[in-house]
Amino acid sequence: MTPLANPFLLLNKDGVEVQHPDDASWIFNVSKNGCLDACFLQFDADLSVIVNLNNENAKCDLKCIYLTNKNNKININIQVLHKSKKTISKQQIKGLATDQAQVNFNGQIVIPKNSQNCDGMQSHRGILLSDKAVISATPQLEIWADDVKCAHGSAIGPLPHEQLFYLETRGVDKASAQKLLLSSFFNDIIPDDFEQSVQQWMDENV
Amino acid sequence: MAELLKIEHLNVKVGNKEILKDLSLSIPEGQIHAIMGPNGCGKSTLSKVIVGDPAYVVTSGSITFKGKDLLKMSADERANEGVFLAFQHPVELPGVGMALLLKTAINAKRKYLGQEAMDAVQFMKHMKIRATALGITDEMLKRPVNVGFSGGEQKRLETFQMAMLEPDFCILDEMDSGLDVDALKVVGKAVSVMREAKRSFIIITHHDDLLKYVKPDAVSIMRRGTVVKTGGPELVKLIEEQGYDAIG
Amino acid sequence: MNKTKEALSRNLETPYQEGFETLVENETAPKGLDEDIIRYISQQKNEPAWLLNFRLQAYKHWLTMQEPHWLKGQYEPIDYQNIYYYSVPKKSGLKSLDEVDPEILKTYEKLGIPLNEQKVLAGVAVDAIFDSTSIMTTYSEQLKKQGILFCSISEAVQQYPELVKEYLGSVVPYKDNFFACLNSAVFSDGSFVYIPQGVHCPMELSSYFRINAKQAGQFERTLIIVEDDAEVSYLEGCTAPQRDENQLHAAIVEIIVKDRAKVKYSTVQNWYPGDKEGKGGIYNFVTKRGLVMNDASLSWTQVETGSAITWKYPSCILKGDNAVGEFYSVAMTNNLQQSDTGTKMIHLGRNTKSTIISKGISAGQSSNTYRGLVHMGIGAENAKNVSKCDSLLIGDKCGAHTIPVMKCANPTAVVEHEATTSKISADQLFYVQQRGLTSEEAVALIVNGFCREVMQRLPLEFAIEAQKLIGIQLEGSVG
Repeated sequence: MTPLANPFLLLNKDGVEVQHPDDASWIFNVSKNGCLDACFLQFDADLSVIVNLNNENAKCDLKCIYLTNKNNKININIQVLHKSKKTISKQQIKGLATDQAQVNFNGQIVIPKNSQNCDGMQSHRGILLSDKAVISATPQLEIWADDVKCAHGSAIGPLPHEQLFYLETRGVDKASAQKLLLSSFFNDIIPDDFEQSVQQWMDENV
Repeated sequence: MAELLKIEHLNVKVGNKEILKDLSLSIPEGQIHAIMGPNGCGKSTLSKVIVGDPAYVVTSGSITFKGKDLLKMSADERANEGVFLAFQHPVELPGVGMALLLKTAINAKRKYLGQEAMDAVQFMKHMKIRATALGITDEMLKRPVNVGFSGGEQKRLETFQMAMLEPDFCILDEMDSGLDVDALKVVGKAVSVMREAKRSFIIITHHDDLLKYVKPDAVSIMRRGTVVKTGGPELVKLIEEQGYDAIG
Repeated sequence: MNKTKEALSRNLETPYQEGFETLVENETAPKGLDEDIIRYISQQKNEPAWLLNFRLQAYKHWLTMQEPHWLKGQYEPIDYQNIYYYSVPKKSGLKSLDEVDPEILKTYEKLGIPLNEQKVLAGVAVDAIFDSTSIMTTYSEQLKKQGILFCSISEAVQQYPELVKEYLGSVVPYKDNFFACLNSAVFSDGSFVYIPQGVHCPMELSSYFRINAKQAGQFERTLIIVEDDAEVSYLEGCTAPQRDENQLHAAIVEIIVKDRAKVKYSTVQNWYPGDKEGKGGIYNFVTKRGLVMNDASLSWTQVETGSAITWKYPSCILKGDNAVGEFYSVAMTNNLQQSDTGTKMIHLGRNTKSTIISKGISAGQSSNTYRGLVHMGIGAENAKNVSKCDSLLIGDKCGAHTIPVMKCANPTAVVEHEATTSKISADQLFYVQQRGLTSEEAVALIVNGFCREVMQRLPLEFAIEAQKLIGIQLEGSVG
């Protein structure tokens, strides 16, 4: 099997200046009315993303999928800075860890003074597939403006029992049910281009 | 009949946009007055301006209520004078129970009028009677104000608040949009029970659903930010048959 | 929108009510800290050798430690040699109420906590702590009949040394952190509670802490031991006079909750917060932690409105299987107050559960941070945590921050965290005003609603005090 790369996909970069100082780091400067839409797929490498929403109506929609196994230790840092008023950000991070892998996710939404009318959203969901894997998450909000909407959510846990049970009552055995649920776990954020790599990882590790 | 509310040559802006233009309207005591008009004619704006929503700026004209200048009063002073608005889109108040809101409101008015506060027993009684009459369950009273209710339930609860606070002047803003027949009947019942020689109502609507259950004494038609015609209940029928283009 | 702000600032500008000073002569050790001071404290309290050794060991270790500064906030370095570590009213350690300085009795009466036998609060036993010492404990004798021990920790050291020796430092070791270490070296007094097996404490137990002396630090130590199947509800209140200098309060609370026992610990913290310019106020650096055994539960409820800086994380070590930990918090900051508070839920046992509900309200130029840790250890099979942290911002010069850390090392454990940040909307304010409430009342009502989930957890007398503190009128509450 060919080792899987850690691909990155830029779905929209209107009004976005991209910097890539090293293999693991990305800086996106989004200007007025600009829109960043990007997806990262991480298997075994660290990732550090900084998004600067520099002017009014700048938007970002970031997606990140991590799938990690063996003794991999990966750090994922995502920071979104709402440097101007009326900026909007959305981050969705989802991942699986198996074997002895360790994932450290650190997400931050910063809304400084005077950045009124911003809307920031971040969600993280992680699933542990082995009893030796560890996922740590620190989703942070740092808010210094009052007229903003900001929310984050993070959950780490197994697949919901109700979902597994529901499938079992339909005659699907536990292992297949798990596989089915895991492969649809990323449905809401995965771009077409990544589907094959994700499937390959699933076939090898689940 | 003595005059309860008098609006003269009212002009209102939001931002740079003029929404009400030279609007005049007079409502005597004891009258049920329907205000009809197509979407965007300024009906809801009028209700917000009467109760003192700071988002609207009155550029000229006057509103007098019981002979007092309403425009000089804050929203809570107007409420304590007896002006009530049943909102078209009631806002959610997470964590604030309905009973708490109402008890605070009733006692704010009593304080304003120099009366003694209502004690807990009296209050519970006052609430129980009205809740039962309007089909408001204990469970609905326990939930935070307007959080997680359907549109119909929210309007039932607005009507219930009106019954609880016993205002002299009630504005019902588009109570019939999105209401089923049962809920319309509840609103109609509340108005007819509350109807008194000195209490008046404005019923704002763009069709005649609610007016089947509440018979208005007078009807005004609004178009393009002003009242274009005032007449008797026969206007409702005219609108129903010929549409708003029949007038103005 | 401006109206909201005006209303709020009016609401929030009620001056500190407890800022008066009691004129009473104190017996004070010289300023500063060295081994001699520690020996002096220990000698004054007639302590056994093992306790002096514990203090000295802690002190030696403290000298090797650095003052931590990771909190989200800033303060001038603390001059540890410019603090009085021991200060007690001259007439203290007295057996009867007649001997207590009447000025001190008046102080507690003014604070709403009468110690006079005719007036003691019904159903609440109080341990009143004034500067470095416990003035008196009410209902002590009645409780003893059921085997419940409720007294100052100094008295416990004399009367029940074996219990103190066994549990002191067992949940918060002296090496735990800088301020806990300092406390272990110099702690002066605090409350001691022992609930024997199977006993449900018939009344609320409470400590009331008052810092009075100038430039004195307060280092109290509370130890609560609850045996198998026992239950207790404990309350803690705090106030201090208005002074220009900052004062340090570094306390430790240790709780041992044995199998199937239940403990509820509530705090209303109203230390002097400093003035509008941020001058003066208490530095509230506290370590609170409980060890929770099989099928037992520990619930922390806190309402934090005072202090210039609050830095505390009441925590639960859920060691036993099926242990339950809860944390309910309201933290309100105004002017230049800084609060960095939250909890740690350490899940070690199977089927352990924890709930975290935090409500932060920031106004003025203050900074309000929720910081928490949820740790699912390898053995935390089927453990579950749910956290919900909401922040309300009032005005555009304050900050609200949420820093939850989640660490999950067990594939069957579930950790869920949600947070939101919002403000009071003009629509909400207007809606309530339309019902006849002034803008101040409307704000109070909405803030009350925002905190309700937490306030409901407090015993009634405390809830009343807490709501008053947050500028909320409770008269309107029904059902």
